[in-house]
Amino acid sequence: MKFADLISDVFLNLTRKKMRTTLTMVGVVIGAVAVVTTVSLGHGLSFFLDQQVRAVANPLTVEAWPKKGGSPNRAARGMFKNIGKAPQEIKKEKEDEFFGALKIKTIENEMVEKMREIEGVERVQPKVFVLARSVQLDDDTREFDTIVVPWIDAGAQVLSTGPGFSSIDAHECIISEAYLESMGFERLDQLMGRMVTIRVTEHPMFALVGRGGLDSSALEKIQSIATLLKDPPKNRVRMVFSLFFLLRDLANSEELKAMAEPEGEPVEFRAKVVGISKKGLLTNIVYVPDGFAIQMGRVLFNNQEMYTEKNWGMGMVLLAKSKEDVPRVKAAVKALGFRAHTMEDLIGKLHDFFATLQSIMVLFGSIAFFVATFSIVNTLLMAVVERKREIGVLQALGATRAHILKMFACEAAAIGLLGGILGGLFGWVMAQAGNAFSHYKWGHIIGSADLFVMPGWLFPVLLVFTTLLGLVAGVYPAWRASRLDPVAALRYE
Amino acid sequence: MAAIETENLTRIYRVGDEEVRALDGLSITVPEGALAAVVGPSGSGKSTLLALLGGLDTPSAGRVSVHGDALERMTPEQLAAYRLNSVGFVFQDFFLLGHLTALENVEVPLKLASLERKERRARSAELIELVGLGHRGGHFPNQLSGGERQRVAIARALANQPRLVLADEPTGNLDEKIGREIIETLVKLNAEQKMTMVLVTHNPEVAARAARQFRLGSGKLVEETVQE
Repeated sequence: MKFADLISDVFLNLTRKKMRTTLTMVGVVIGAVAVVTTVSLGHGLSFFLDQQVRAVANPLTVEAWPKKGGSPNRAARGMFKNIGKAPQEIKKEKEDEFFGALKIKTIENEMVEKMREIEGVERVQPKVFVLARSVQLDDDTREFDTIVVPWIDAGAQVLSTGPGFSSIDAHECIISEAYLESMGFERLDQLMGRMVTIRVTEHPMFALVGRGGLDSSALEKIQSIATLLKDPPKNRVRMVFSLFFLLRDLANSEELKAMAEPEGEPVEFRAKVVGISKKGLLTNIVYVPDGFAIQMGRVLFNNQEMYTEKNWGMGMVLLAKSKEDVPRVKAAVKALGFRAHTMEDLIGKLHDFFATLQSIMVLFGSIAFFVATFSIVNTLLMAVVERKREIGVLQALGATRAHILKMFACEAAAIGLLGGILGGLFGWVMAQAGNAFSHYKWGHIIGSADLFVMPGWLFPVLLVFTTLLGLVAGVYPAWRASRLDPVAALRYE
Repeated sequence: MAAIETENLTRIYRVGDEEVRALDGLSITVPEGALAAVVGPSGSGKSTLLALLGGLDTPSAGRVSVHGDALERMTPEQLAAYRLNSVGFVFQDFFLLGHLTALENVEVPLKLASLERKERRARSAELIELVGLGHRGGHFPNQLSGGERQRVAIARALANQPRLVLADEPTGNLDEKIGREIIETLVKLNAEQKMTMVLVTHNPEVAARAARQFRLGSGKLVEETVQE
């Protein structure tokens, strides 16, 4: 039989029991809708954030962070990975992996010198944290929340209007376009040249870094927890309770409470608005020159030696001369024994995160596919029984086993294909509805960007997948049909 | 040359622990172009013989040769090809496909033989005309009378110009008058198209039209009558 005839017969057979075919398809449709919407969302979000990061982050910077020590994450991992285990011997090469090894490590001057010598590096400066409490226009009583970012961290696309900074230490700022509305202006030039006050506060947690690490009673409590974990009582319930109480005490300790609240009066920095930055996801950004940011950063740590040769802090930022230099600089930073991050790494992590998220969501969608498989198998097995005599007639007329097998397998594949097409279309409609909703709800944040973006490969891949799914589901019923004894099939009532 | 030759043809079925010998060492010969009738009481092995001659079933022992092809040695695929190209079946219950029109039913074997659509259409129209149903080609089986359905089944059996037509009680579900017409059609086709025809029937009147009659009893040949 010609393939075209087989296909036309297959579709004719499927239309014979429209309701059943439709119901069988529902599982595939649901699965396809779930996959299309989740993949579109993941893809759209990933693309959107990619664009956002590219718009605001500096592609020329390489951040250097110490590999050993200083990582609260690593300490936390050290704490949790030993839960329930017998106490571990601390081996020299793995000493940083234990909870008790928590120490905040700053970068040595010698290393900073070496970073400056790396080929392709234009400038090296400390990674500055500024904990700004507010920004306030002169002649205005209102204070607005803000995130102060050193200019080195900003991408070239950030500046919307204005001449930019006059020098690295200038007391100037570039303020987000989003403030325009909050502050009650209509035009960008109404903000240009105005003076603002940025209030920066000290924070005890960072002050500890400024002093060189934890040396308080809180640390003792933390050590008690570590001891408990390293030498846990046999009774696990008791251990959990002891841990609970120790953690509660720690949380209630005066020092940690003090950490939670900034101390003292904020320090005020006055700056002139010399530029307006484009509105991004983070609307409350105020960019400041790097030297000015360092001054603000010292307040946070309550340490005037911070970000100098005496204390470079926990991380450095290396500005490469060109994009081409970035990989080389990154490799050199790694060779010095540091962890190195670039904007592309951050974007890569974002993509990885969304890829993982998508996989998980697709997995949930696959549950519908899994159920659909059984539905197709069930329908076709019923069809084989119902059409037993028809199969016998076809065999009597000269149909081979292969023909019968192909006919049923193709019917199953067609259910998958049709389900995929319908599900894909519904999914696309859902994605468009999602976009319309997100524009309506978050249009002020995301602008005209679509959060649901259906990648070009998705529809064809979906159709191939659902068709194969149907085909796989159809194999057993088709095989059963092809193995029917023609004499028995013809006698079947 | 003999169209059909069987030698010690035996078919044994197992029903639980019991062995049922549906055919038990049957040896018959049907000459090329002959009209043969197989008669006998229910359970005598008539339909089993037809299934073996049509390659729907395979013998437990013995030989069955049709136009020189030893069916017992054929693989399932070869048997399917044999059924497609060399045999036409006419059943008591017509066995038309209910979702297809008369013309489309006739087209099924032509489709299986991979004929082009245009060719198929022309051939099926010709066959429907041949059985006198030219005006009913677009009707579905449930819109046709029993006699008309059987005519469609005959047209379908002739689709691939088989050398052998096997009819299992073709008048069994028809009233006498219509049954007679169907037999006349078959006899006429046998005479005009020179195809070998084997009819299984209970009806002595029908059997009397055949050049050869094989009377079966308990799977064995009881009597063979040859009309001159």
